Amino acid sequence: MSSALWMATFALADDAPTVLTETDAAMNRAKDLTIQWTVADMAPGGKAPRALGFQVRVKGPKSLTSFDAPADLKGTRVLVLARDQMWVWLPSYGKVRRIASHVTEQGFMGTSYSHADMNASRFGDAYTAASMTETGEAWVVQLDAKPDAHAPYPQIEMTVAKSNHLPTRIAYQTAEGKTIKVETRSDYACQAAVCLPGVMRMEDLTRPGAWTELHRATWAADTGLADDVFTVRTLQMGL
Amino acid sequence: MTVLWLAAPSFAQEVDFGGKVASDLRFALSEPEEVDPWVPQLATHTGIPWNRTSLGTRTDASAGKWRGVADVELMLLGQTPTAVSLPDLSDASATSPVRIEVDALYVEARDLLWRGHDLRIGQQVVQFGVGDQFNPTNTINPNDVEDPLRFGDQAGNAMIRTDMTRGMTTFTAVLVPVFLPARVPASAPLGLSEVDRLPFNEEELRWRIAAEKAFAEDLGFPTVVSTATAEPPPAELENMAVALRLGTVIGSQDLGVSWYRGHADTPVAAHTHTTQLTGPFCDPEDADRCVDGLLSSDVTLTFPEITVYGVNGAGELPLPGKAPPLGWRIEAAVVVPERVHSTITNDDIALLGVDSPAGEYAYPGGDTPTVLADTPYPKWVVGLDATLGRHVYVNAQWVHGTFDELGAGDNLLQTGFAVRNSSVAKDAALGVCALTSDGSKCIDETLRVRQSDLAVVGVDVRFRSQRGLLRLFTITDLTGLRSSTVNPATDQRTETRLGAFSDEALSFVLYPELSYDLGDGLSLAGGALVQLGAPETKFGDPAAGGSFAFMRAAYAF
Repeated sequence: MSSALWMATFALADDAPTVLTETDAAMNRAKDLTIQWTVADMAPGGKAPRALGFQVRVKGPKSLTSFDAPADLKGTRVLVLARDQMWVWLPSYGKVRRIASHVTEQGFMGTSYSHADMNASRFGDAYTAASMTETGEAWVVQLDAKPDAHAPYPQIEMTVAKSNHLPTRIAYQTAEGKTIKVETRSDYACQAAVCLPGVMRMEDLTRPGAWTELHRATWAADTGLADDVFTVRTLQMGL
Repeated sequence: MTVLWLAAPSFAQEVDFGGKVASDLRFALSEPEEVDPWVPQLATHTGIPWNRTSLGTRTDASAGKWRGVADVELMLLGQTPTAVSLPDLSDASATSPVRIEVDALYVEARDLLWRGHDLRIGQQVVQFGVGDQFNPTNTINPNDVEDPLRFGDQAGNAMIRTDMTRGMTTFTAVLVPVFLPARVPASAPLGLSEVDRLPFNEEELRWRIAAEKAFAEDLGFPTVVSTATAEPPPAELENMAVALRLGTVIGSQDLGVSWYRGHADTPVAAHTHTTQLTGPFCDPEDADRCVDGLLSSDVTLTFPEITVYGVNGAGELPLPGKAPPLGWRIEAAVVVPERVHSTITNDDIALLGVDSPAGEYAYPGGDTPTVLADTPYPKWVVGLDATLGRHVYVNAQWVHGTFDELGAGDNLLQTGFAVRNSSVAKDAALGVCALTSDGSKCIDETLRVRQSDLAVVGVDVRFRSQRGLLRLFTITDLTGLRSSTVNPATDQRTETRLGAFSDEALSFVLYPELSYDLGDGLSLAGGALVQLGAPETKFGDPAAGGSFAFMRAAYAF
């Protein structure tokens, strides 16, 4: 029986598109997620990393991020319903402001992560799996951006663990194949079928010395987050 | 046991507390405005006009559907009054004044009557507008421009707000029981020294009064404004303000319509009473510089009733190619004011043997003059923003009408002017004009349409992973001026338009700022607010506060 299952898994992961499909499925097993992250962000030439903290609630493409550190960011909330539907609540101004998607160019709160990096959960939407190599424990899949998909990077080289079909290393590349950012994901923990990395680290190779690490503090999957969590009303009032 | 279990709350109370300690020091870059010694001395924006240290705290407590919020700031003003009595020297409240500001102090219930129904009662700020800093539909709370660096801020007021939300559509209703006026900069009373800026719409009356004032000054009796008393509408049911808004999201665009009925937070002159003071009054530093007396005016200001119909929209505009879309926002309002009449009275005045008995001024035609017509007028803000790469953000706005500009009149749609300066025409027969009650042949004026057009352009450059921010904002007044002059040879008046970039009308603001986030809540900033232009212009006006440099430090916890 177990041999048959092993054979089936191996067969499913035999080609790059299948690995990509399996990876997207593994990354999206939760109906919803609530994650508390602590962040260490190092600027190029910096002496010590800057500390941030935020809680993010995710349901499909929708997310609500609430910052609790540092103190001057505390209370700031960001609602994302789609790439062109984003709002921010700035407590010091006491108002909700729609933000155009161009602000994603600035990176996520100045870290090495971009907004697109933070919200990337289904690579198959914007990329096709062009080729694949294999090691004993992982597949290395080369992804090419789909035309007109507004993919944030022309190419991605993604290393996927055979054990859980989840990415352990993602190299974001230019059209010429030059790697500009490298993300590693490690210390996966699982709740039922839902697995989440304990540490995510992004190095921005275009800014030597710049890196950002996200450490998972607490998390919960499939808590039944209501749809009205992801509304401008909740953004303004909080939960 | 069961009873106890039922009585126990089924929710836990959560309390969140945060705050900020901030210091703000400013140095005036402008020369003090010179006024005649017999003019009441007013606050000036010179020397070190700002030296404030503050502690702001925010407490947010919630339990189940209920929530209470307190946003309180304790401010040490850092200014000792220029003159204090000897006993005051032992009174810290006199020598080290302190102020408390409360922007939020309310209770809130979520899903109160049904899912999606919210209620908030207490001191709060309710803003409908989507514009940046310039918001013609934010008329519910009083504008707070005491600090020019926080332009666009509004002060809290006690009110009742209810929201009904279904999906992305929200209907909001607000009741404001008691009116609060706008907070203005300390320099604003300097405007009172500009006694030549007569507020009346009727130009014949304006010229006549200007000629009479000028003639009286020639006779040794200049006019001064001794007091200006603002009279807010009393706290009565009929003076409560009401506001409604319906907002929704359609695709990638936010849309909203709003309605407000209440009072404008900026006053207009409703009554002027003049008293003759017999002198002489002399300059203490120059005994030869004297006047025989003064015509001392006491002005009463009123806050006109207005109805505001508003439209708001924000979203993004796709651009061709791979360029990221532009953000756009439009905020527009049509303001329908009540007509405000002004009355002019005087005590007995005797000049050159001619007596003006106590009573009301003899208006031409008998009608009291208008200081605010009931003609509806528009205001709007159109803005675009874009991000260029990782470091640069650009924001540009066209502002048509600012909150302090009341009345119809602009460069596009309507005629209507405010006087920025008046003077006696060269070679004019001033005595004849004054004694025949016809100032049209004697008075030159500089006029400005009532609603400005401003180009607001800002650039933010972020560096070191957004810890550093170099900001440059500019506001250019595109309104221009008009010169209305009389030719004594022909007695004909001519009006000349002075373009926005002419020497006379050029007026702009430069706001450079460099700030740095040192981490862990500590930040430092320094910069300047530079306001340039002739005194007749919007930003060169002494009442605008002049130019200053600033440095700030803040620690948030």
